[in-house]
Amino acid sequence: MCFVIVISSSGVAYAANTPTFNQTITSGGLSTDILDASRVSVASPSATMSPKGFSFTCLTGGSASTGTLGTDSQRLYVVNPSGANNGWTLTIAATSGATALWSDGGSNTYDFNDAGTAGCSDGADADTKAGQLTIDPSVGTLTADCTSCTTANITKGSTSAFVEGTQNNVTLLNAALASDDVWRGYLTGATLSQTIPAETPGAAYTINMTLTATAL
Amino acid sequence: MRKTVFGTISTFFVALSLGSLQVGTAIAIESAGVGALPAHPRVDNPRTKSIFVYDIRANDIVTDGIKVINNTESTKTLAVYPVDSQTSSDGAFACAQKVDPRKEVGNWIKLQAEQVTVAANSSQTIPFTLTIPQTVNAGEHNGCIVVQNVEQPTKKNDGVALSFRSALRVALTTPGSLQANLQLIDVQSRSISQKTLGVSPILKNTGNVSADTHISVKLAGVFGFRYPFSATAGQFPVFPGVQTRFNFELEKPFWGGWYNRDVEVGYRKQLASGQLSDDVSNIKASRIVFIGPQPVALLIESIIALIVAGLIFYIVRRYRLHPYSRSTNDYVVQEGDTIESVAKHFNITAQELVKLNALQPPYALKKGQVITVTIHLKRPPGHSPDKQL
Repeated sequence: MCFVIVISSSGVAYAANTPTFNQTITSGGLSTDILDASRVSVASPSATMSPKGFSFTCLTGGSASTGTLGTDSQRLYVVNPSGANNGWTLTIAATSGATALWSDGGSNTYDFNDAGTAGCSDGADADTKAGQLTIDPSVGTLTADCTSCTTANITKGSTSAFVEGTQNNVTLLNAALASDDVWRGYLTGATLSQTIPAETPGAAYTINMTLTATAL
Repeated sequence: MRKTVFGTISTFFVALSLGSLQVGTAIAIESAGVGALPAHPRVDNPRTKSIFVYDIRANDIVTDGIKVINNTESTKTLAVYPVDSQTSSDGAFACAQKVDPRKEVGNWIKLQAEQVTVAANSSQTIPFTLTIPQTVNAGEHNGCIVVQNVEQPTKKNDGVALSFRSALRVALTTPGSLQANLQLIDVQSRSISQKTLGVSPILKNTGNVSADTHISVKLAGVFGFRYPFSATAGQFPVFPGVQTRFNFELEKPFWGGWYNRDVEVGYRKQLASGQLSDDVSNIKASRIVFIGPQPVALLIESIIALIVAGLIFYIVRRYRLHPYSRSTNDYVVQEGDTIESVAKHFNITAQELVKLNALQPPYALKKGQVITVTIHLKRPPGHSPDKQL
């Protein structure tokens, strides 16, 4: 008498009288995460911005605070285990929506999506804060990280600034229908540039942003 | 490897509890983190394996489900919520944030639960209903169902703190006059790096349903030489009412030069019946662009240019010094010939003739003497090197 153990995905065991080898491959959905070079999830994923001294003038253009989204130790991964076969997008937006602000945790804040004078003055949005964040994924590097996949049919987004109400999301990656259905890869080197309004009080400021991988 | 060992050990203990020594294996292969799939994909529409697609009328109520997947090694508590769609930069598809007001599809979907705890390497299906309001415009309406880990990463005290979520598009089409009309607004190009050229067609869909496009971009030689030096293509949706930019990257031709930048967009128009036309509508745009050579090519081209310039300079300089091409020939001195008369006859100077024959003063010529003369290939008419005086 012999038994074969069949383990279902729910972990329940059944007995059968025919010898069979079974294995379960759990299906997966499209996902995104920040992983390190060993593909381990980073505990506090972030993009650090360059520090700036207090200034009576607006810090914009070459004087703006800059950062990098996706570094070698914080790779911006997308994993598609055949969950998004029609293509997908990777976008970034402020978690608190269009009215989000950079904040020091107290009363000091400035804006990330005010288009007034390239972020140097308060525009026609709902708040009274200036400041604008620009993201340029096009200068980044897209790397495929699986044996059978390539970066073909995946395009990087253009440089884009957040504008309250009209540009709440920035496209980082756009995968076509013909992109690999089973794909894992990462983006590094997308640049960030934040206009700092004049006379912004010195403090450590944070803004929460959410990366969304969407199956199309 | 760890999972294989775990699976074998688990199997051993289960088998032991059943009084058997038979060894079987059950291997769960991790494929991703937290995600979702439609719970009930339709056989007639392969797209429904990845997203929700409905042809639906006003007042209709649809029941469906989303399969929430946890492919990690630990139990996850996941938030699942519907939102409206938004247009991202470049006209790409995006999902609104959880805090954003839900006005359309995000408001029409009601999930049975908006938070679920899913064990490691397993999934759960959450049923939902989709209720279409009494008044809804004909055409396509998009939204998303989002899955997000409730336990988000630790926030840092400065910079951009990042969170993550996965979303499935929900695409509804309500009947009526359905159209997908594409316009090629512009084609922009820019140099991304020494080896890469960015070409960005910008399309606008003035219709009310998405157009699935096949966009091809290529560089071809001018002057009728149509072999594509560099080409790429992709199939992308262009959403209704949206201007969309697609950023293609082409390999720059090594030698640089003038090229035709060709863009071709193919799509099937929607018929009045709601079906897609069998014929593919094509939009084409072609423009001649100059592409600079790559650095190594530029170096080689510079060297060749210098060599060519040097040769031209040498030839011109020689031509100016000696405006006529010449060769030499023997000449038998005739009665009455002098240095001056012979030189004049052959259109050279007396000094040149003296130097050519190493003549010594008083430079007298004797009848029958053989001297060397220069023969001009471009001579005054009526003269011949063989002509005797």
